[in-house]
Amino acid sequence: MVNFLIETLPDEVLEFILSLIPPYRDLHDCMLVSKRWRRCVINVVRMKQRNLYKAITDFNVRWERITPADMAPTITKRYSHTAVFHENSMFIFGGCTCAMTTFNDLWRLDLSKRQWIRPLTMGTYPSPKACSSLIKHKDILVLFGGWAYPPSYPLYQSWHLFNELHVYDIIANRWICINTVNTPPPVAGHSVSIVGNWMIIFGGLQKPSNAVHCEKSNDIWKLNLETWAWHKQEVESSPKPSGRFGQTQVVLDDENLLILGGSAGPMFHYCDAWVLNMSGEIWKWKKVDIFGKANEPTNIWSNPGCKIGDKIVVLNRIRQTESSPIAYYPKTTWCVNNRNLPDDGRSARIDLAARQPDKDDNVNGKRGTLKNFKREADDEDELPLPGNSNSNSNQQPNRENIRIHAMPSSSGINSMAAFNGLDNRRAQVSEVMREKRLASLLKVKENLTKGAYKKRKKDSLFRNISQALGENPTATWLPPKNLTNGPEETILYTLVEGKSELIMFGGIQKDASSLGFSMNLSSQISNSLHFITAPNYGRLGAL
Amino acid sequence: MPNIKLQSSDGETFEVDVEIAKCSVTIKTMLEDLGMDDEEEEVVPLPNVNSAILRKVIQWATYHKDDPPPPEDDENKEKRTDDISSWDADFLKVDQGTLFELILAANYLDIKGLLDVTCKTVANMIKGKAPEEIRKTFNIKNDFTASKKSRFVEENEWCEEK
Repeated sequence: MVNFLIETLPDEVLEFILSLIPPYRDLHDCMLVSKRWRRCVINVVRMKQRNLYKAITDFNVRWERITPADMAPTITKRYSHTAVFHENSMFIFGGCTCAMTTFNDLWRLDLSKRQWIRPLTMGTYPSPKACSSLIKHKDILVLFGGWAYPPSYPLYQSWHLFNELHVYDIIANRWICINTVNTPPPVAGHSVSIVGNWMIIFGGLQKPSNAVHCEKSNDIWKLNLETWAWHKQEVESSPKPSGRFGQTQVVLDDENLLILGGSAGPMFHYCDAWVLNMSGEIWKWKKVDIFGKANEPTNIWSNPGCKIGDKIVVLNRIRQTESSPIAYYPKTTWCVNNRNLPDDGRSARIDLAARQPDKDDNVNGKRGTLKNFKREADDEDELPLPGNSNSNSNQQPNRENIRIHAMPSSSGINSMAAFNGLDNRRAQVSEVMREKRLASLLKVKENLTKGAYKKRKKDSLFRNISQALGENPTATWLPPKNLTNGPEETILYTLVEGKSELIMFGGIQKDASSLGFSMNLSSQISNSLHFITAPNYGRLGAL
Repeated sequence: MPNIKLQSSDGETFEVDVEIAKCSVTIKTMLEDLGMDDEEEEVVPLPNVNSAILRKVIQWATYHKDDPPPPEDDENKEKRTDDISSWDADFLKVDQGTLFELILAANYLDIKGLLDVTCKTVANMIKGKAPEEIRKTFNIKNDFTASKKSRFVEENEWCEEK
């Protein structure tokens, strides 16, 4: 009998087998087996990348969810953590939970085995914090900034921001604290990119040295990764994007960055995009003209975007209409000629007017409902609420208000009232928070009476940024398309690109239109993993 | 239920229920195209499959005859390699030669389920092994020159089309 070897299998069968192997270390090892295997692996990898890209363009992705129960040891639930992909792993740092806890643990997800590993790191640990930025450069991870709950004593501390810089040496498994020169003021919720030997950060909530309060910054700072010296980057004074935090920042090429979205507080959410041109001594901002605004997602600041090819993927919830769930996808087109704007054949696609009034605080009063909240404020004050009391609720930075005000308590209300007299700024801040809190109170009441806590499914939005490098940069939101199987609506998670898949982790599950409602917030914080991959297009061939 | 005769490359015929035989898309197409659906006792020649393998394929197909057909593009089912049923795992406890012959037969006969499970088995044999171990397991000749090999080992940047 002829001895059948694996070599007798035709290439497409071998490629099919190789496509079943996780596209990380295992597949890389297969490349080293023989020339033929190397060829086949290259084909498989290319195919997978193309398929992912095609899936994203067609809005036809596959969601795969891995719950903590399937994995042990498991990372703790968290949100506002930071994540980065490196070789075969995804690293997660920090974040926070509901009970005023911030973390400084580092976890590694082995993407071949899909298991969490907690490296026992040595060296100088960073402080526990959330909303910091973590990015990879060669074989190190650079962690900067962040925010932590203020200590409870002394009371009435303002927000606690950091400007410490730590480096995690992946090979040595060691944290190193770097003393930098010309350090920027403490900042959190900023966005970061690496271009060449520079780490460039933009925006965030910043606490200038003498200020008591944080302000939304639109500064650019760059850090030289060799000399560890910071420079505040000069930019042309206008046009400039307004100060914000929570934006998404991606690298377009060696000289251009793009920022998208962000927030400047509960009533100021941005859906705009800006290109930063970094050539020359003084950098320039250019605002991106955005098409397809009807397809815009409501909530970009707490849904981080991820760049894939020439598109940015943003997840957002489906707007449920009578007919069918709809997803919104951003899109930009690469060519200057503005070809293929989305095909609008779908009649049931968007009908903004027919939607139920959206009581989302983030919606900038689009639905005109924010004002109502104030009027009914007095009625709501005495509403007994379940949940933990959170007497420091007025200390939290704006972007966390959505969560914190889930549990206002009467002591919270009293202490806030005490603030109103202090100084102008504080009063303003607390005003805003009071509004938010009242908004959430109203929602709680609604939800209690309705009895239903609607969970909306998450969906992907894709945004093409290909055209963003022209003289008049443009970008388009892609039209929505039906999609199911996404996770429940979540915010403040991380979305990272792996090899031919996107990895979403953590976050708070919440229906953005019922911010205030929660009896037990910890049940809504997630430590599940979701993978976005391409569906299998066929048995062989287009794998 | 009507039967159909399948003839292996070495001349042996197997009588099989038509419905079971139709798990093979190749056979199904053959029957439909040649209008052999309702004919009795026609013989379908399968020159690429020998009798030992054909016997095993029929055994697999008979066991799985009541499986629901897999959805056309498996969109929501993950391609995992750890969900091989225990019956299949036992069925595939064969030598490598037979395993690869089964793969070739499943490929030729276009039996998706069998191809999936056999390829998953091979993938599981590959996973977690260093290149040298893979070569040893499958008796593959290393045809890289020494210099090329060291270059590939350092190669971390692999064919990302960004």
